[in-house]
Amino acid sequence: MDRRNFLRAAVGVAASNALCGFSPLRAMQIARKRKVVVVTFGGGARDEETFAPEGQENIPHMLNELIPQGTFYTQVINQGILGHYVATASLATGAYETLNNFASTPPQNPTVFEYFRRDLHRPQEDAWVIAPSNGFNRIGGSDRREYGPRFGAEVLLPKQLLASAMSQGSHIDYEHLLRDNYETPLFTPQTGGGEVNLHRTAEILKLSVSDFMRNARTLSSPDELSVFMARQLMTQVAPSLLWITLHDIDIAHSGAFSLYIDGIQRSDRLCAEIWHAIETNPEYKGCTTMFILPDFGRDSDTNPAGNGFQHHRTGDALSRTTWLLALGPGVRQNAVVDRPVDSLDLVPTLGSMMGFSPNFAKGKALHEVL
Amino acid sequence: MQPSDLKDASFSRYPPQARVLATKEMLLLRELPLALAPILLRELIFYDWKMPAERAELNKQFLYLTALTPGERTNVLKPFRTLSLSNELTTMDWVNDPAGFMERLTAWLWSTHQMERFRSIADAYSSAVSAKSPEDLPSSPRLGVVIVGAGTRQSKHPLFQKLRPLGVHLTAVHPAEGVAILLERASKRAALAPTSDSSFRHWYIDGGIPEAIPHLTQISYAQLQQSRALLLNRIQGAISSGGMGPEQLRTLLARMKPDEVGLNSAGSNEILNHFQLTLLTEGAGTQIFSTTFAQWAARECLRRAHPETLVVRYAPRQQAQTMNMMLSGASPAGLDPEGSLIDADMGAYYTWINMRRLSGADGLRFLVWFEGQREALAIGPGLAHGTSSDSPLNMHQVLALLDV
Repeated sequence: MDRRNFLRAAVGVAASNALCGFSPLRAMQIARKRKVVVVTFGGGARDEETFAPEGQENIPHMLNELIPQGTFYTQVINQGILGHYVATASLATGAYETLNNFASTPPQNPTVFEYFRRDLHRPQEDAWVIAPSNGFNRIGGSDRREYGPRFGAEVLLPKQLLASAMSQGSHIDYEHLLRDNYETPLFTPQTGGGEVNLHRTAEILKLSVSDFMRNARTLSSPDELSVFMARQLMTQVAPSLLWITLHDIDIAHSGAFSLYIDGIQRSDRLCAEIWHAIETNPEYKGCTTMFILPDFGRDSDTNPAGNGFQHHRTGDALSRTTWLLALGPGVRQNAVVDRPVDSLDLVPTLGSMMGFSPNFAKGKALHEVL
Repeated sequence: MQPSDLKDASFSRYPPQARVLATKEMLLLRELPLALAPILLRELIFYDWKMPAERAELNKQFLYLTALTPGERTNVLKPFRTLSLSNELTTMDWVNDPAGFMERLTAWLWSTHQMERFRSIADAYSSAVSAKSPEDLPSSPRLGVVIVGAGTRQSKHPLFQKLRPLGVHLTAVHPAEGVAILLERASKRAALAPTSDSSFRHWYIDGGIPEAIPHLTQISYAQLQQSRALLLNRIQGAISSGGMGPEQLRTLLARMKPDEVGLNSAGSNEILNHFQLTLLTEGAGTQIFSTTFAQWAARECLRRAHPETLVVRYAPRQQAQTMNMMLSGASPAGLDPEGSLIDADMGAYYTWINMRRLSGADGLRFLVWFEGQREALAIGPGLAHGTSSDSPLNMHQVLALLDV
């Protein structure tokens, strides 16, 4: 069974629900109220450990709760550089970025946050990124002259905040939440300004530092911390555009297969929790579209240039091919799209959905979800 | 600098044997395109510490290219010349830093969307080399043994799922003396091998404390404890000194010598010690997880040494902590035997895949055994695929089943 067919089988969707050029559905909500939450996995998961028969036990929430409510794209191709920061930046700009994956530099093209804020005259608080590691601290805005940081998103680095808070007390209870940068664990860019950010963020989220620390203690992974922060953000600020990048899966770079599987299972659960948060928050319920997609895949077992699941260095088809799930009002439920789409298509889709013009983005809007 | 500018003095910083070979092949090296020459030099610069099988591969590549007529050689090399390279690549010292060149070349090819083309050019080239000079068959059928699960008595998930379709699932193995029997058989194969062919042909890799066994090339996670600590200490020092990004750190690691991590850089173990050093400096996670070390060591052993016998024994790895803590050499929070069994199960599958890439794959004998337990899986000529057997077998009988 080829990849497309087993993904179709995995999601259990009847052929009649396949989409091939149907009339677009429009959301009933007015554009101004519409909200979007994007969840990406930094550290893609392969089909074998997810949608293939032997992997389905790892993603019960995706299969049983989320996919039946949404439209599922079985072939999303990433033709860019397969590093997490540069790939996530490409997802956010809709153009293949070529920046140094490990440098603290902004994307070269305007981000979705800049298009959104500039075109729709939205305040800074209306676009947020919750990023997995300190290396993502510049992802909120490009350095394009007509766009740039003044139209960028607020970037929340939960680990940086935690590290800042920890500097005032004991480290022991929180170290497990500070796993960082699995792709090159030997390098962590300095971001600076932690103390200022900590108190400002705490103020915005109406969360005292001690509350933050108390909650953090109950969490078991950095991604759980990110989702905790996302919930707090949705409750207190309710941004219209929220981008969450999960990263636990990328522990695969350490070569421990069991930890990689743990990461997949946790991400699966957290995606369901994010959707639950959307559905139970009056600011979001009924007007929010959620997109879930890995930034790219991981190497196949059989490519001699790689070492299987551990990395994403070969650039083979498996490491470039992944999937996307969209769910929310106006998005057809229990539907599968088999045509190949591009990772860059996300930003034009968001543009069409929210009403801004991503002028420098290269992809094409996914008409099936508009 | 272009390859056509190469001269003997260009290789003055190369180790002795590499320098001799470079000088001998100077005319050929000068003919190579810039996109290919540093790739060959990346292998050549470490010639003195290469495994015999690696040296043979490199020599065959030179032989292949020199045996071509000038017209044929032009045609074979032409596709590499069609790649557009940056000025930075042309001007850097790619003779003495071919690995650095490769890193920059990779980034350049990605950023200019030439990677796919480079890949297909490189694949075609390497297929042509392999077709003209195939690897010799092993003197006896290769044997791979992977021992998994030390420290745990049962698995929460079914074992050997990926390998079961390929062999016989044994469910009533008598485990007594299993490790000793398997190692003795491996040792015996090494002892019986022709002397001229025995160098680095028979290996025993242990993810924990190794058993004492003669005739096998041995490496283990436990024996490299001091080296791992010294390496992590060096890394921490480099990071805390500031201003060191991943590329610079990789360069630093690539330039390390075995004696910097407590291993002799010269002497009878010179080649093995360089091999062990690269396991720690090039393998992600090998410094902190014993299961990753065992899997990566097996992969590199197979890729570089082409062994006829390989025994890999996994041991429990430490529980996951933060990367910062593990990389700083902090004491383990405890062991994770259940997780390690899952790691090792996947590692066994990867070892089988990597063994299949070597010559004589049709005659490969492969066994994976849950240490101390009754469950194993045997793959070999004549053994039915996707079958199961509950016949009681001791480890000698399991090996007989494999005709070893």
